[in-house]
Amino acid sequence: MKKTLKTLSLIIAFGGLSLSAIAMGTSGGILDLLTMNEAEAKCCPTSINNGRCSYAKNCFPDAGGQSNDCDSTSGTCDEEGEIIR
Amino acid sequence: MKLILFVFTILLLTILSCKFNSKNIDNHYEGKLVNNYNLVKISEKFFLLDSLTGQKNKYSQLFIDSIGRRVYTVLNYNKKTIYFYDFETTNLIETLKITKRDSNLLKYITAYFIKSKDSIYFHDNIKQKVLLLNSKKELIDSISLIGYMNPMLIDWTFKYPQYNPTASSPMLLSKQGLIYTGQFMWAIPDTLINNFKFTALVDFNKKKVSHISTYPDDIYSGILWDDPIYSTVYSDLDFENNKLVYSYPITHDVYVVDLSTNEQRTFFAGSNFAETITSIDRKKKGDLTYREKLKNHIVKTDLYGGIKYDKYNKVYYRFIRKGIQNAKPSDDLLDKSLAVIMFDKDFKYLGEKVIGKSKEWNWENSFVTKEGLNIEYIEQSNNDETQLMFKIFKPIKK
Repeated sequence: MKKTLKTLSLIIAFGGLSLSAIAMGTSGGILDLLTMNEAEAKCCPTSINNGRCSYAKNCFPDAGGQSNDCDSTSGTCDEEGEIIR
Repeated sequence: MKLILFVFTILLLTILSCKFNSKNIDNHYEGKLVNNYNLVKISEKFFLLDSLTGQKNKYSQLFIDSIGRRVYTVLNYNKKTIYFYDFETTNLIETLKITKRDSNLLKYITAYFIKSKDSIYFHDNIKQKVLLLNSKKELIDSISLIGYMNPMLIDWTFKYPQYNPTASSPMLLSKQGLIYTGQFMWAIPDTLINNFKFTALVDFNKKKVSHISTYPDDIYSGILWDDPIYSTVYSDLDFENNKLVYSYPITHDVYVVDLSTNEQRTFFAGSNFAETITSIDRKKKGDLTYREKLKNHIVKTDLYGGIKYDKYNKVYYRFIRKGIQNAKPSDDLLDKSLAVIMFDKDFKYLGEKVIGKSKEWNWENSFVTKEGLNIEYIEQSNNDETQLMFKIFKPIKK
Protein backbone atom coordinates (compact mmCIF):
# COMPACT_ATOMS: atom_id res chain seq x y z
CA MET A 1 0.00 0.00 0.00
CA LYS A 2 2.75 2.42 1.01
CA LYS A 3 4.77 1.52 -2.06
CA THR A 4 1.73 2.14 -4.35
CA LEU A 5 1.05 5.45 -2.72
CA LYS A 6 4.66 6.47 -3.11
CA THR A 7 4.68 5.57 -6.82
CA LEU A 8 1.43 7.40 -7.43
CA SER A 9 2.74 10.50 -5.70
CA LEU A 10 5.89 10.51 -7.82
CA ILE A 11 3.83 10.20 -11.00
CA ILE A 12 1.61 13.11 -9.96
CA ALA A 13 4.63 15.25 -9.09
CA PHE A 14 6.31 14.51 -12.41
CA GLY A 15 3.11 15.27 -14.28
CA GLY A 16 2.69 18.56 -12.51
CA LEU A 17 6.24 19.67 -13.21
CA SER A 18 5.90 18.68 -16.89
CA LEU A 19 2.69 20.63 -17.23
CA SER A 20 4.37 23.58 -15.62
CA ALA A 21 7.27 23.39 -18.07
CA ILE A 22 4.91 23.26 -21.04
CA ALA A 23 2.89 26.17 -19.70
CA MET A 24 5.99 28.24 -19.12
CA GLY A 25 7.30 27.42 -22.58
CA THR A 26 4.17 28.60 -24.29
CA SER A 27 4.01 31.74 -22.24
CA GLY A 28 0.77 30.51 -20.83
CA GLY A 29 -0.65 29.75 -17.50
CA ILE A 30 -1.99 26.32 -16.77
CA LEU A 31 -5.43 27.69 -16.03
CA ASP A 32 -5.47 29.46 -19.39
CA LEU A 33 -4.45 26.31 -21.24
CA LEU A 34 -7.35 24.50 -19.60
CA THR A 35 -9.88 27.20 -20.28
CA MET A 36 -8.96 27.60 -23.94
CA ASN A 37 -10.65 24.27 -24.55
CA GLU A 38 -13.98 26.02 -24.15
CA ALA A 39 -13.70 27.85 -27.48
CA GLU A 40 -16.87 27.33 -29.45
CA ALA A 41 -15.53 26.63 -32.88
CA LYS A 42 -17.68 26.01 -35.86
CA CYS A 43 -15.33 25.64 -38.74
CA CYS A 44 -14.49 22.69 -40.92
CA PRO A 45 -14.61 19.80 -38.45
CA THR A 46 -12.68 16.94 -39.96
CA SER A 47 -10.93 13.87 -38.80
CA ILE A 48 -7.59 15.67 -38.98
CA ASN A 49 -7.77 18.37 -36.33
CA ASN A 50 -4.47 20.18 -36.19
CA GLY A 51 -5.70 23.73 -36.40
CA ARG A 52 -7.76 26.13 -34.34
CA CYS A 53 -10.64 28.32 -35.43
CA SER A 54 -9.94 32.00 -35.12
CA TYR A 55 -12.57 34.54 -34.09
CA ALA A 56 -13.08 35.25 -37.79
CA LYS A 57 -13.59 31.50 -38.38
CA ASN A 58 -10.41 30.85 -40.28
CA CYS A 59 -8.51 27.68 -39.48
CA PHE A 60 -4.85 28.16 -38.66
CA PRO A 61 -2.25 25.70 -37.40
CA ASP A 62 -1.80 25.84 -33.66
CA ALA A 63 1.10 23.54 -32.91
CA GLY A 64 1.11 24.30 -29.20
CA GLY A 65 -2.66 24.45 -28.85
CA GLN A 66 -5.04 22.42 -26.74
CA SER A 67 -8.30 22.98 -28.60
CA ASN A 68 -7.55 22.01 -32.18
CA ASP A 69 -10.82 21.56 -33.99
CA CYS A 70 -10.24 21.98 -37.70
CA ASP A 71 -7.92 20.84 -40.47
CA SER A 72 -5.54 23.69 -41.19
CA THR A 73 -4.08 22.03 -44.27
CA SER A 74 -7.32 21.83 -46.17
CA GLY A 75 -8.03 25.51 -46.68
CA THR A 76 -10.30 27.90 -44.90
CA CYS A 77 -13.98 27.81 -44.14
CA ASP A 78 -16.86 29.82 -45.42
CA GLU A 79 -19.69 30.92 -43.19
CA GLU A 80 -21.52 27.65 -43.63
CA GLY A 81 -18.51 25.67 -42.49
CA GLU A 82 -17.75 24.44 -45.98
CA ILE A 83 -14.10 24.00 -46.81
CA ILE A 84 -12.82 26.43 -49.39
CA ARG A 85 -9.72 25.31 -51.27
CA MET B 1 2.07 11.22 4.52
CA LYS B 2 5.01 13.63 4.30
CA LEU B 3 5.58 12.59 0.69
CA ILE B 4 1.94 13.23 -0.23
CA LEU B 5 2.11 16.68 1.34
CA PHE B 6 5.35 17.39 -0.55
CA VAL B 7 3.78 16.41 -3.90
CA PHE B 8 0.66 18.43 -3.20
CA THR B 9 2.77 21.49 -2.41
CA ILE B 10 4.71 21.15 -5.66
CA LEU B 11 1.47 20.95 -7.64
CA LEU B 12 0.00 23.95 -5.87
CA LEU B 13 3.11 26.08 -6.41
CA THR B 14 3.21 25.01 -10.05
CA ILE B 15 -0.32 26.17 -10.69
CA LEU B 16 0.06 29.45 -8.86
CA SER B 17 3.43 30.36 -10.37
CA CYS B 18 2.34 30.32 -14.03
CA LYS B 19 0.12 33.08 -15.35
CA PHE B 20 -0.37 35.46 -18.24
CA ASN B 21 0.37 39.03 -17.34
CA SER B 22 -2.12 41.74 -18.08
CA LYS B 23 -1.12 44.75 -20.13
CA ASN B 24 -2.34 48.31 -20.49
CA ILE B 25 -1.24 50.22 -23.59
CA ASP B 26 -1.92 53.86 -22.85
CA ASN B 27 -2.58 56.54 -25.43
CA HIS B 28 -0.50 59.45 -24.14
CA TYR B 29 -1.95 61.79 -26.77
CA GLU B 30 -5.61 61.05 -26.14
CA GLY B 31 -7.59 64.29 -26.46
CA LYS B 32 -4.49 66.37 -27.14
CA LEU B 33 -4.27 66.27 -30.94
CA VAL B 34 -5.59 68.99 -33.24
CA ASN B 35 -7.60 67.95 -36.27
CA ASN B 36 -6.53 70.23 -39.14
CA TYR B 37 -7.44 68.00 -42.06
CA ASN B 38 -10.61 66.53 -43.40
CA LEU B 39 -10.87 63.32 -45.38
CA VAL B 40 -13.19 64.20 -48.23
CA LYS B 41 -14.90 61.77 -50.56
CA ILE B 42 -14.20 62.97 -54.08
CA SER B 43 -15.50 60.18 -56.30
CA GLU B 44 -16.75 56.61 -56.60
CA LYS B 45 -15.80 53.71 -58.86
CA PHE B 46 -17.77 50.62 -59.83
CA PHE B 47 -16.44 47.36 -61.28
CA LEU B 48 -18.99 44.91 -62.64
CA LEU B 49 -18.78 41.45 -61.10
CA ASP B 50 -19.69 38.17 -62.75
CA SER B 51 -22.18 35.76 -61.20
CA LEU B 52 -19.38 33.81 -59.52
CA THR B 53 -17.77 36.74 -57.73
CA GLY B 54 -19.09 38.72 -54.81
CA GLN B 55 -18.07 41.75 -52.81
CA LYS B 56 -15.62 41.60 -49.91
CA ASN B 57 -12.84 39.81 -51.73
CA LYS B 58 -9.79 39.64 -49.53
CA TYR B 59 -6.99 40.19 -51.99
CA SER B 60 -6.39 42.65 -54.79
CA GLN B 61 -3.58 44.56 -56.48
CA LEU B 62 -3.30 47.56 -58.76
CA PHE B 63 -0.41 47.43 -61.23
CA ILE B 64 0.80 49.25 -64.35
CA ASP B 65 0.85 47.07 -67.46
CA SER B 66 3.28 47.14 -70.37
CA ILE B 67 1.35 49.92 -72.18
CA GLY B 68 1.21 52.12 -69.07
CA ARG B 69 -2.38 51.28 -68.29
CA ARG B 70 -3.51 51.02 -64.66
CA VAL B 71 -4.99 47.57 -64.13
CA TYR B 72 -6.97 46.66 -61.02
CA THR B 73 -6.93 42.96 -60.20
CA VAL B 74 -8.97 41.07 -57.66
CA LEU B 75 -8.73 37.46 -56.51
CA ASN B 76 -11.74 35.21 -56.23
CA TYR B 77 -10.01 32.43 -54.32
CA ASN B 78 -13.06 30.19 -54.21
CA LYS B 79 -12.88 30.00 -57.99
CA LYS B 80 -9.07 30.37 -58.23
CA THR B 81 -9.52 33.24 -60.64
CA ILE B 82 -7.90 36.66 -60.90
CA TYR B 83 -9.98 39.33 -62.62
CA PHE B 84 -8.18 42.11 -64.52
CA TYR B 85 -10.01 45.44 -64.89
CA ASP B 86 -9.00 48.62 -66.70
CA PHE B 87 -8.93 51.07 -63.78
CA GLU B 88 -9.86 54.09 -65.95
CA THR B 89 -12.83 52.58 -67.75
CA THR B 90 -13.58 49.85 -65.15
CA ASN B 91 -14.09 47.40 -68.03
CA LEU B 92 -13.11 43.78 -67.50
CA ILE B 93 -10.03 43.06 -69.63
CA GLU B 94 -9.49 39.36 -68.95
CA THR B 95 -9.35 36.66 -66.29
CA LEU B 96 -6.64 34.27 -65.23
CA LYS B 97 -8.09 31.03 -63.96
CA ILE B 98 -6.17 28.26 -62.25
CA THR B 99 -7.87 25.20 -63.67
CA LYS B 100 -7.95 21.66 -62.34
CA ARG B 101 -5.07 20.89 -64.67
CA ASP B 102 -3.02 23.63 -63.00
CA SER B 103 -4.04 22.68 -59.50
CA ASN B 104 -1.09 20.34 -59.04
CA LEU B 105 1.01 23.43 -59.43
CA LEU B 106 -1.07 25.78 -57.34
CA LYS B 107 -3.14 24.15 -54.65
CA TYR B 108 -4.45 27.09 -52.65
CA ILE B 109 -3.76 30.65 -53.77
CA THR B 110 -4.36 33.38 -51.24
CA ALA B 111 -1.98 36.08 -52.51
CA TYR B 112 -0.08 37.14 -55.57
CA PHE B 113 2.11 39.94 -56.89
CA ILE B 114 1.93 40.91 -60.55
CA LYS B 115 5.25 42.32 -61.63
CA SER B 116 4.15 42.09 -65.25
CA LYS B 117 1.75 39.84 -67.15
CA ASP B 118 4.67 37.48 -67.71
CA SER B 119 5.93 37.51 -64.12
CA ILE B 120 3.33 36.71 -61.52
CA TYR B 121 4.31 35.55 -58.03
CA PHE B 122 1.75 33.35 -56.31
CA HIS B 123 1.63 32.27 -52.70
CA ASP B 124 0.36 28.74 -52.26
CA ASN B 125 -0.90 28.73 -48.67
CA ILE B 126 -0.92 24.94 -48.35
CA LYS B 127 2.45 24.15 -49.91
CA GLN B 128 3.87 27.33 -48.30
CA LYS B 129 5.72 28.22 -51.45
CA VAL B 130 6.04 31.24 -53.66
CA LEU B 131 5.76 30.27 -57.31
CA LEU B 132 6.69 32.43 -60.27
CA LEU B 133 4.54 31.84 -63.33
CA ASN B 134 4.34 33.44 -66.75
CA SER B 135 1.18 34.49 -68.59
CA LYS B 136 0.72 30.94 -69.94
CA LYS B 137 0.71 29.64 -66.35
CA GLU B 138 4.01 27.89 -66.93
CA LEU B 139 6.20 27.53 -63.88
CA ILE B 140 9.38 29.58 -64.09
CA ASP B 141 10.59 29.07 -60.55
CA SER B 142 9.47 28.27 -57.01
CA ILE B 143 10.82 28.62 -53.50
CA SER B 144 9.72 27.39 -50.10
CA LEU B 145 8.78 29.95 -47.46
CA ILE B 146 9.38 27.45 -44.68
CA GLY B 147 12.89 26.18 -45.43
CA TYR B 148 11.48 23.11 -47.23
CA MET B 149 10.03 21.77 -43.99
CA ASN B 150 6.99 19.58 -44.51
CA PRO B 151 3.95 21.90 -44.59
CA MET B 152 1.69 19.09 -43.41
CA LEU B 153 3.61 18.83 -40.13
CA ILE B 154 2.74 22.08 -38.46
CA ASP B 155 5.79 22.44 -36.25
CA TRP B 156 7.15 24.79 -38.92
CA THR B 157 4.80 27.42 -37.46
CA PHE B 158 7.16 27.87 -34.52
CA LYS B 159 9.96 28.85 -36.88
CA TYR B 160 8.30 30.59 -39.84
CA PRO B 161 5.39 33.04 -40.15
CA GLN B 162 1.92 32.01 -41.22
CA TYR B 163 0.09 34.14 -43.74
CA ASN B 164 -3.44 35.51 -43.87
CA PRO B 165 -2.96 37.95 -46.73
CA THR B 166 -5.25 40.79 -47.71
CA ALA B 167 -4.73 43.93 -49.72
CA SER B 168 -3.68 45.45 -46.37
CA SER B 169 -1.11 42.75 -45.66
CA PRO B 170 0.01 41.96 -49.22
CA MET B 171 3.02 40.77 -51.14
CA LEU B 172 5.11 43.80 -52.06
CA LEU B 173 8.08 44.44 -54.29
CA SER B 174 10.88 46.55 -52.88
CA LYS B 175 14.35 47.41 -54.10
CA GLN B 176 15.50 44.34 -52.13
CA GLY B 177 13.03 42.06 -53.88
CA LEU B 178 9.74 40.46 -52.92
CA ILE B 179 8.58 41.24 -49.38
CA TYR B 180 5.85 39.26 -47.66
CA THR B 181 4.74 40.00 -44.11
CA GLY B 182 3.06 37.22 -42.16
CA GLN B 183 2.41 36.72 -38.47
CA PHE B 184 2.40 34.38 -35.51
CA MET B 185 -1.28 33.50 -35.32
CA TRP B 186 -1.77 32.89 -31.60
CA ALA B 187 -0.31 34.16 -28.30
CA ILE B 188 3.42 34.21 -29.00
CA PRO B 189 5.52 32.26 -26.48
CA ASP B 190 8.14 34.15 -24.47
CA THR B 191 10.80 31.83 -25.85
CA LEU B 192 10.06 33.05 -29.40
CA ILE B 193 9.34 36.75 -28.89
CA ASN B 194 12.84 37.98 -29.75
CA ASN B 195 13.59 35.34 -32.39
CA PHE B 196 10.41 34.92 -34.39
CA LYS B 197 10.69 37.07 -37.53
CA PHE B 198 7.53 37.60 -39.51
CA THR B 199 8.57 39.31 -42.75
CA ALA B 200 10.03 37.18 -45.53
CA LEU B 201 12.44 38.67 -48.06
CA VAL B 202 12.22 36.41 -51.10
CA ASP B 203 15.19 36.50 -53.47
CA PHE B 204 14.66 34.30 -56.51
CA ASN B 205 18.06 35.25 -57.96
CA LYS B 206 19.89 33.89 -54.96
CA LYS B 207 17.22 31.22 -54.33
CA LYS B 208 17.02 32.42 -50.77
CA VAL B 209 14.39 33.45 -48.25
CA SER B 210 15.52 35.46 -45.25
CA HIS B 211 13.43 37.01 -42.50
CA ILE B 212 13.37 40.31 -40.66
CA SER B 213 11.35 42.02 -37.91
CA THR B 214 10.11 40.72 -34.58
CA TYR B 215 7.07 41.65 -32.52
CA PRO B 216 7.61 44.48 -29.99
CA ASP B 217 8.26 42.51 -26.83
CA ASP B 218 6.96 45.25 -24.54
CA ILE B 219 3.53 44.77 -26.15
CA TYR B 220 3.31 41.08 -27.00
CA SER B 221 5.53 39.18 -24.57
CA GLY B 222 3.73 37.14 -21.93
CA ILE B 223 0.32 38.62 -22.76
CA LEU B 224 -2.81 36.69 -23.74
CA TRP B 225 -3.24 38.10 -27.26
CA ASP B 226 -4.55 34.74 -28.32
CA ASP B 227 -6.26 35.35 -31.63
CA PRO B 228 -5.02 36.42 -35.08
CA ILE B 229 -7.08 39.60 -34.77
CA TYR B 230 -4.51 40.84 -32.24
CA SER B 231 -1.36 39.53 -33.89
CA THR B 232 -1.99 40.58 -37.51
CA VAL B 233 0.82 42.70 -38.89
CA TYR B 234 -0.44 45.19 -41.46
CA SER B 235 2.22 46.71 -43.68
CA ASP B 236 2.89 49.07 -46.52
CA LEU B 237 5.93 50.17 -48.46
CA ASP B 238 7.32 53.62 -49.17
CA PHE B 239 9.19 52.41 -52.27
CA GLU B 240 11.01 55.66 -52.97
CA ASN B 241 12.54 55.85 -49.50
CA ASN B 242 12.84 52.06 -49.14
CA LYS B 243 10.88 51.96 -45.89
CA LEU B 244 8.42 49.36 -44.67
CA VAL B 245 5.85 50.44 -42.10
CA TYR B 246 4.07 48.08 -39.70
CA SER B 247 0.74 48.67 -38.00
CA TYR B 248 -0.28 46.31 -35.18
CA PRO B 249 -3.91 46.23 -34.01
CA ILE B 250 -3.06 46.78 -30.36
CA THR B 251 -0.49 49.58 -30.36
CA HIS B 252 -0.97 53.29 -30.87
CA ASP B 253 2.47 53.37 -32.44
CA VAL B 254 3.71 52.22 -35.83
CA TYR B 255 7.11 50.77 -36.60
CA VAL B 256 9.14 51.80 -39.63
CA VAL B 257 11.96 49.65 -40.98
CA ASP B 258 14.65 51.11 -43.20
CA LEU B 259 15.15 48.19 -45.59
CA SER B 260 18.63 49.39 -46.54
CA THR B 261 19.95 49.19 -42.97
CA ASN B 262 17.31 47.04 -41.25
CA GLU B 263 17.04 49.70 -38.55
CA GLN B 264 13.62 50.23 -37.01
CA ARG B 265 12.07 53.36 -35.56
CA THR B 266 8.87 53.79 -33.59
CA PHE B 267 6.42 56.63 -34.19
CA PHE B 268 3.20 57.56 -32.47
CA ALA B 269 0.41 57.09 -35.02
CA GLY B 270 -2.65 56.76 -32.88
CA SER B 271 -6.13 58.21 -32.82
CA ASN B 272 -7.00 61.31 -30.79
CA PHE B 273 -9.92 59.32 -29.41
CA ALA B 274 -8.35 55.93 -28.77
CA GLU B 275 -8.37 54.88 -25.14
CA THR B 276 -6.05 52.61 -23.22
CA ILE B 277 -5.91 49.18 -24.83
CA THR B 278 -6.12 46.51 -22.17
CA SER B 279 -5.34 42.85 -22.70
CA ILE B 280 -8.01 40.20 -22.31
CA ASP B 281 -8.35 38.74 -18.83
CA ARG B 282 -7.69 35.18 -17.96
CA LYS B 283 -10.92 33.26 -17.56
CA LYS B 284 -12.26 33.27 -14.03
CA LYS B 285 -14.96 31.13 -12.42
CA GLY B 286 -18.43 32.20 -13.54
CA ASP B 287 -17.09 33.92 -16.65
CA LEU B 288 -18.53 33.52 -20.10
CA THR B 289 -17.04 30.98 -22.45
CA TYR B 290 -13.71 31.99 -23.93
CA ARG B 291 -15.24 32.79 -27.31
CA GLU B 292 -17.84 35.07 -25.74
CA LYS B 293 -15.14 36.72 -23.67
CA LEU B 294 -13.07 37.20 -26.80
CA LYS B 295 -16.03 38.74 -28.63
CA ASN B 296 -16.73 41.18 -25.76
CA HIS B 297 -13.10 42.22 -25.68
CA ILE B 298 -12.90 42.73 -29.44
CA VAL B 299 -16.10 44.81 -29.46
CA LYS B 300 -15.05 47.06 -26.57
CA THR B 301 -11.42 47.60 -27.54
CA ASP B 302 -10.06 50.20 -29.96
CA LEU B 303 -8.30 48.08 -32.57
CA TYR B 304 -6.10 49.57 -35.26
CA GLY B 305 -6.14 48.23 -38.79
CA GLY B 306 -4.16 48.63 -41.98
CA ILE B 307 -1.88 51.47 -42.96
CA LYS B 308 -1.42 52.90 -46.43
CA TYR B 309 1.23 55.29 -47.73
CA ASP B 310 0.06 57.91 -50.23
CA LYS B 311 3.16 58.90 -52.19
CA TYR B 312 1.20 61.52 -54.14
CA ASN B 313 0.08 63.52 -51.12
CA LYS B 314 2.94 62.35 -48.84
CA VAL B 315 0.40 61.14 -46.31
CA TYR B 316 -0.12 57.97 -44.28
CA TYR B 317 -3.65 56.66 -43.67
CA ARG B 318 -4.24 54.34 -40.74
CA PHE B 319 -7.55 52.61 -39.98
CA ILE B 320 -9.02 52.16 -36.53
CA ARG B 321 -12.08 50.18 -35.43
CA LYS B 322 -13.42 52.15 -32.50
CA GLY B 323 -14.44 50.27 -29.36
CA ILE B 324 -18.11 50.28 -28.32
CA GLN B 325 -18.14 51.07 -24.62
CA ASN B 326 -21.79 50.35 -23.84
CA ALA B 327 -21.98 47.40 -26.18
CA LYS B 328 -25.16 45.34 -26.44
CA PRO B 329 -24.84 41.54 -26.35
CA SER B 330 -25.75 41.49 -30.03
CA ASP B 331 -22.96 43.89 -31.02
CA ASP B 332 -20.14 42.43 -33.04
CA LEU B 333 -16.96 43.50 -34.80
CA LEU B 334 -18.91 44.86 -37.76
CA ASP B 335 -20.92 47.21 -35.52
CA LYS B 336 -17.82 49.16 -34.58
CA SER B 337 -17.30 52.57 -36.14
CA LEU B 338 -14.46 52.81 -38.62
CA ALA B 339 -12.18 55.85 -38.75
CA VAL B 340 -9.24 56.86 -40.90
CA ILE B 341 -6.38 58.74 -39.21
CA MET B 342 -4.05 60.86 -41.34
CA PHE B 343 -0.36 61.63 -40.76
CA ASP B 344 2.25 63.37 -42.82
CA LYS B 345 5.33 61.50 -44.06
CA ASP B 346 7.05 62.09 -40.69
CA PHE B 347 4.00 60.88 -38.74
CA LYS B 348 2.88 64.27 -37.61
CA TYR B 349 -0.86 64.01 -36.86
CA LEU B 350 -3.04 65.75 -39.45
CA GLY B 351 -6.54 64.66 -38.49
CA GLU B 352 -9.02 61.82 -38.60
CA LYS B 353 -12.54 61.06 -39.71
CA VAL B 354 -15.14 58.44 -38.90
CA ILE B 355 -16.38 57.13 -42.26
CA GLY B 356 -19.16 54.87 -41.00
CA LYS B 357 -19.67 51.45 -39.44
CA SER B 358 -17.28 48.60 -40.16
CA LYS B 359 -20.10 46.65 -41.81
CA GLU B 360 -20.24 49.28 -44.55
CA TRP B 361 -16.60 48.89 -45.52
CA ASN B 362 -14.22 46.18 -46.61
CA TRP B 363 -11.39 48.41 -45.37
CA GLU B 364 -8.83 45.64 -45.80
CA ASN B 365 -9.42 46.06 -49.54
CA SER B 366 -8.03 49.57 -49.81
CA PHE B 367 -5.26 51.02 -51.94
CA VAL B 368 -3.83 54.38 -52.98
CA THR B 369 -3.91 55.95 -56.43
CA LYS B 370 -3.14 59.47 -57.62
CA GLU B 371 -6.81 60.24 -57.00
CA GLY B 372 -6.52 59.34 -53.31
CA LEU B 373 -7.38 56.55 -50.90
CA ASN B 374 -9.69 53.95 -52.46
CA ILE B 375 -11.73 51.93 -49.96
CA GLU B 376 -14.19 49.19 -50.89
CA TYR B 377 -17.71 50.16 -49.87
CA ILE B 378 -20.26 47.43 -49.16
CA GLU B 379 -23.56 48.49 -50.62
CA GLN B 380 -26.17 47.14 -48.23
CA SER B 381 -28.78 47.34 -51.01
CA ASN B 382 -26.64 45.38 -53.46
CA ASN B 383 -27.93 41.96 -52.42
CA ASP B 384 -27.10 40.43 -55.78
CA GLU B 385 -23.52 41.69 -55.47
CA THR B 386 -23.41 42.78 -59.08
CA GLN B 387 -20.66 45.34 -58.64
CA LEU B 388 -17.59 46.16 -56.62
CA MET B 389 -17.78 49.72 -55.35
CA PHE B 390 -14.98 51.97 -54.16
CA LYS B 391 -15.19 55.38 -52.56
CA ILE B 392 -12.15 57.56 -53.12
CA PHE B 393 -11.01 60.01 -50.46
CA LYS B 394 -8.52 62.84 -50.43
CA PRO B 395 -7.01 64.71 -47.45
CA ILE B 396 -7.99 68.39 -47.56
CA LYS B 397 -6.64 71.00 -45.17
CA LYS B 398 -9.44 72.77 -43.23
